[in-house]
Amino acid sequence: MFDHTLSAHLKSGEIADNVITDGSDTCTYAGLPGRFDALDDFAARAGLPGDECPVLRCGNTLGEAVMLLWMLSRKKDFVLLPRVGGDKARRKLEDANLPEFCKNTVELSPDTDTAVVEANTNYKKYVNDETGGKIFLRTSGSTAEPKLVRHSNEKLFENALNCVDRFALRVTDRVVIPVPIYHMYGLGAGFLPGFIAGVSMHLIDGTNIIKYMGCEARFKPNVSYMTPTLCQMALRTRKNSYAYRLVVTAGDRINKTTFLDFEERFGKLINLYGSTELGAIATSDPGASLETRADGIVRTMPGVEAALEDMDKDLSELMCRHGSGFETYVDRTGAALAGDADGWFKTKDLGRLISRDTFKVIGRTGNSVNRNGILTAFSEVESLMEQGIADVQFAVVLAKEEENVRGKTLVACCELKPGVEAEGKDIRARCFDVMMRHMVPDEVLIVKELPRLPNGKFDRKKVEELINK
Amino acid sequence: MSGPILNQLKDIIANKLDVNLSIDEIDENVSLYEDGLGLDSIAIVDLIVSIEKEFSMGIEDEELNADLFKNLNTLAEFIEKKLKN
Repeated sequence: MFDHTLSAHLKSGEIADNVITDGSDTCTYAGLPGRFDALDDFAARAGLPGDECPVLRCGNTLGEAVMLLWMLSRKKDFVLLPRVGGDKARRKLEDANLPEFCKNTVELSPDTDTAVVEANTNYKKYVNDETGGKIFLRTSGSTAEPKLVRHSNEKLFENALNCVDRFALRVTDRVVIPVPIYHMYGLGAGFLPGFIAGVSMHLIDGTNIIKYMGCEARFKPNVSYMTPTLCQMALRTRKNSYAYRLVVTAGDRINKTTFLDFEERFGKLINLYGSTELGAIATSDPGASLETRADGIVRTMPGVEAALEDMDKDLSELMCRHGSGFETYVDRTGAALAGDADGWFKTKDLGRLISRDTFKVIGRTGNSVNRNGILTAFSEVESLMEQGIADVQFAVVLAKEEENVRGKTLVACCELKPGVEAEGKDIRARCFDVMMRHMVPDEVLIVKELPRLPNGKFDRKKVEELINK
Repeated sequence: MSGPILNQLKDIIANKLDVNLSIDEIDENVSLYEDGLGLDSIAIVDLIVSIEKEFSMGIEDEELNADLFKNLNTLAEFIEKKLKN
């Protein structure tokens, strides 16, 4: 699959000079086999045999992207996780949660740009699948213990091939990927389709508008993978227009005004709907009218079926089945978890079917929202506030309909510990120390006592009334 | 050099951006990003928009580059030059 792709590219000679770059370091497609050989030597020296399943800690640098392609091309089993960086507290937390079936972690040293292998202290054993080529991704859902999703090399390839076709990627395209390639969107819809099509690609590590503009000025991309937040940032800061052939956006619903404004200034916008489990499920039809695309109507990818959980209703939970989707969830030990026998995946999104192969996503069904394109579970924010902020006894987190640049407005309603007095703004300031930025509530309300149901659980409807007063 | 502008920039960051930093905590010599003041991508956009509003000036696309946003000193110098012109 991925190994044959590179061979075919190089045999054709068509793309030998096309590049993959992060702005600092650049590699041509013709240079990739040499890099892969060097990584083979490194693996032999570092004691990374092919029958183990290391964690690959990955960001968007060229070195990391090459390592990822090398693992896929050599059909290695690996768990793909984000690079942790130098924050010791975060690294400790991440290390404590490493899967027990991974003997080692592999990452690039930021100082030397060489691969470094470290032992995973949680390691117990890995039962090697005879077929090899298993890729484990972590769900972006911010639950206490995120799920690991097992994909096969072949299905991931098929998934990426769907995107090559849908986006009509061709060797002359110049693609910018400012979204992380350790997530399914950046990987399965952006980076791998780009590689399969042999396009020149510019990855951006730690994206912000300044880096993005620098890339655009130097690299002159004609295809971009954005998020609604990035689209809004571009609209807020940029004075000039830029003509992209295609801009893909995913990670959250993009509102119609942003969609229309963005397309007018920057070129055709395509909304992609997907998940870590199924990869690219549906996208706006590139041939559909602007009105249809801006309305959020998407068409399923080849091999995808869509249905509503309750087909008698106009609006119900969207369920999808994808022949090139994931194999199974696994627990920390690597053991497969029981799934739905019929292969239907519950998306936790409310959807409306338009036709057999088109639908529209209306919002989330559960107690979670997308913020900065990251699924944010209310329960996790509540737990972090209760455990991390000494003055907070209980917290109930809800979202308001109104949106800001990070997504739906997140509000926390808190009951403080007996005898404690604090204002909402003080509690909110302390949230910055105990949670990721996208989780920090936009408002914190302090109440004497949170409303409860007769069974003692918090009455979320009454809290919602309080918040909206 | 750029003293009043620097102070105004610190005031913008502490009081107009949603970043949980006080004026005393803002070092004009460190990076604006994760390895310094810790401004994330959205805060950087808010900073650009606030600068344009507070200093009644426009920052052109070609001026939005990494050198300009290296730290608050470089940003203050840029604003000072731009205001003089």
